[in-house]
Amino acid sequence: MIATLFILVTVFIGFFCGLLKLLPHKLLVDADKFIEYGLYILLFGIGVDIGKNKAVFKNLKKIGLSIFFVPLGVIAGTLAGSLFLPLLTPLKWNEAMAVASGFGWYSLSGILLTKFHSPQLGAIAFLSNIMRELITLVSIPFFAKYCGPLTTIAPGGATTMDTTLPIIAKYTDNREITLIAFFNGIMLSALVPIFVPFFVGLG
Amino acid sequence: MVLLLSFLLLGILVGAFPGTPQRFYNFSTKILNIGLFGLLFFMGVRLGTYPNILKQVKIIGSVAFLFACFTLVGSVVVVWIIEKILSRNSRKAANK
Repeated sequence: MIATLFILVTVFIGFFCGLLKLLPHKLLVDADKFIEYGLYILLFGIGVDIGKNKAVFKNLKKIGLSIFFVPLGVIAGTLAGSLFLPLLTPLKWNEAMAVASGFGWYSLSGILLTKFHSPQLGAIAFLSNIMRELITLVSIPFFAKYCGPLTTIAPGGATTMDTTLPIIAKYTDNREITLIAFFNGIMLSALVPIFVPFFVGLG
Repeated sequence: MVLLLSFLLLGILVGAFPGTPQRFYNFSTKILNIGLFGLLFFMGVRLGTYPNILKQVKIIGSVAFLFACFTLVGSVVVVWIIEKILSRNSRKAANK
């Protein structure tokens, strides 16, 4: 609970600093770059941590093909969850699935839907995938504690290869899970540009 | 994507290298903890600087929120079921 609060407060302080322009101009304009370079450093650090634990690779062999189960589960769960949206909103089922196919990668899914469908649906994809990323950040400590290490990967979708990976690594404390999460993120990210236009085309 | 993978692999190589001193491991743990909250902070900054973000939240916020919740809960439920099945199978295999 404290971890969740800490994550939430940090993101919100950043948000208000950005919104009210409380930081030097350079920090505001280059936030994207700071995130990118910060991720490189964090990924390197996560790598060092993985390399230090020699048992990881032996255990990973045991996991074998089940490494594909997590991304497949995320795809099935995300798409199934999105099918509730047409019941609550005026969206059509394929539009809902197209928005959900962003899997948390908001910049790309927003751009893709603006191009292939409409700016309105693009904006929904953008904002809903931002919210998915935010809810993921704050809920990871909870899932890590009460569900299980594999389930901790599920909420992040495509973001488990970058922005949410450091949080997963910190709160699962299980290096095989970090590698599975990274793989999950790569697979889902690769599918975003395929799935989004596919579902738009079904309408 | 390639760069992220390269940094991860580079880290794994350095971490697995037998000559890496303990001090370096302690240092990298510290970097992870500090870097994580730096990352979260700048993710917040990035969101705050998106043009019209509050206006967008007002107009389509509730639909977007429903999307986020349903897709996230859907993923968690399915993967949770998969995790339960996998752990039951591995317990069975261990008993044999």
